[in-house]
Amino acid sequence: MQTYDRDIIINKIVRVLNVLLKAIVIVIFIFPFYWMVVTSVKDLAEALQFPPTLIPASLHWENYTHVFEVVPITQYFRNSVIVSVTVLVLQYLIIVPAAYSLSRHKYRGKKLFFGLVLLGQMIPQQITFLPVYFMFSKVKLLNTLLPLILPFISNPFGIFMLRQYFMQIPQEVIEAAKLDDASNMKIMFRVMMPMAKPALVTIGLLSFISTWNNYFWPLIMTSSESLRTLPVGVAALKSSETLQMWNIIMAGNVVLVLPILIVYIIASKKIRNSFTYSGIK
Amino acid sequence: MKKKERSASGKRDRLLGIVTASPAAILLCIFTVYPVIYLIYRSLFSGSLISAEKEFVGIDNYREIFLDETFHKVLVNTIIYTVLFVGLTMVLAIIIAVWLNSSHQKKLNNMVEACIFTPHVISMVSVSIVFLWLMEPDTGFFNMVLTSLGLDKFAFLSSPSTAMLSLVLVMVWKSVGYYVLLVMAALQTVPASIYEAAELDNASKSRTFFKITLPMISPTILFTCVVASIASFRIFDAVNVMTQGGPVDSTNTLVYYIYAYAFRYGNPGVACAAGVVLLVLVCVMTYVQFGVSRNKVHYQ
Repeated sequence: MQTYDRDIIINKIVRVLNVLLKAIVIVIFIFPFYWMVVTSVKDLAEALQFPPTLIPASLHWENYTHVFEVVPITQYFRNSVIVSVTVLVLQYLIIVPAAYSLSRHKYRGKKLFFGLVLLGQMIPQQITFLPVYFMFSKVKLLNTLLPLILPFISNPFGIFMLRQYFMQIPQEVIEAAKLDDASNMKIMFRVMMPMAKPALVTIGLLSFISTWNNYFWPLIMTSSESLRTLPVGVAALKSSETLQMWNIIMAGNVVLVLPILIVYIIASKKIRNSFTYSGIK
Repeated sequence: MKKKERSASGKRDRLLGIVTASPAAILLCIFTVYPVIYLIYRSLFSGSLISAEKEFVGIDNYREIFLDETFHKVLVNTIIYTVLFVGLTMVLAIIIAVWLNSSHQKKLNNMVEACIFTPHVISMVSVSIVFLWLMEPDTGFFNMVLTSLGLDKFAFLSSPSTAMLSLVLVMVWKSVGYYVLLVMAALQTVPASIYEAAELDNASKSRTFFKITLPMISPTILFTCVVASIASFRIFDAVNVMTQGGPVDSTNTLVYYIYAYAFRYGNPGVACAAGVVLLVLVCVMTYVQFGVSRNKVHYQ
């Protein structure tokens, strides 16, 4: 009886410790974001004050108007939206037919094409950027948004993933549709696409997040301020006239983080599953 | 076996296949195959970023980087970073995943997972800027906490001896949630019957972990380590935003070196030669990855 009681007590302690530890972990991962937001609404004196205040004494929303004044952040935002959305939409036009072709057609050179897709997944931007920079410089397109869009619409990961999905669709389903005299287009849109919807959503989410967050590529491909995307513009905040004005820098940072954070809060589970899938494929 | 009446539709099928594949194939050739070839070709020339003129110099660019002490340091830094990052991330990810997997507080676990994973979807620029602020030597939050506890200030990113470690910590914070998810997915594949058998044998928890869980998930862990290493070679964003390779090249890594040679020193030939070194590293690791993934299939 006594050992039984003791077990219950130990169990309770373990549970409380578990909850406590989990709370600490949550704080470790959320606090930096909280600190970013809190700093963004403090005035400079309070932002640098010792000891730091966890809750701002007064709210200074004018930091946000300030950051819009010192840098053309609306322009950056617009560029980011244009690039992310264009890549998102255009890639479907390229990768869906490509994946269909890989999974359902027989032709010479298919293996070679599949090899290309694998190579595309293997070679990172950090290897191709200089030649691509020269290429766009040669055709005088460096002062446009095209270098930020064109290299990403033939998304090899997307082709690979969709191909796996299409291949899982039983041949009988397609044969049945063919017997009904359905055209290739119809089979594509009425049969294949609906069945591959999870893959299409996953590809879209991952592509949007990675394009929105991409810093390296736009940093290299854009030299004029009017073409910068948000990550490049916000990173430049800390070295411009706002040097050490952490409240202003954080306000810019919030503008960069917020859209993705909202998407993540809405579709947290879906996004986590997408990343897990892409990691263990 | 081809039947005659089928050959017409077969031809159409072939043609359609080629037509639908070609846009993607052409784009991949332009933006992957050609750049790789051109990178190797361009590494044999000198010249500048702005003019198209260049001169064949053979392996001079390679000689230059391999004689450059900074480049040696950069290679060592990249390897140190990779080992520290992958080691720390994987150990933490395994601990957290096994811990979450063993406790039955579903809602809370889901919240922990969601929070740990958040930094992974956030731009590296944002994360770098926030940590630059938190780690600010004088007015940053971390040092304010340390001084108020009566401890010495920590130099974080501002000293050559601590900058690399700080960089690794930021990257681990950003990425560990992703690897927790991967390890948890691997844990799901371990059949419950094995654990039940272990329980019947009264095996202790640590024994179960080391004798069952770890061996069962180790192929996946190994595979993940290789993939994480390839990703680590490419570190750039955090370096460029937080340290610019400094102080005294203590966080200068391969991609930053390539970038700096091309766009700071305006010497694309040398940058391409260093790019070829990165290419070789990625190829070797991808070869290892395929070997490991064959193993993974074998174990399952």
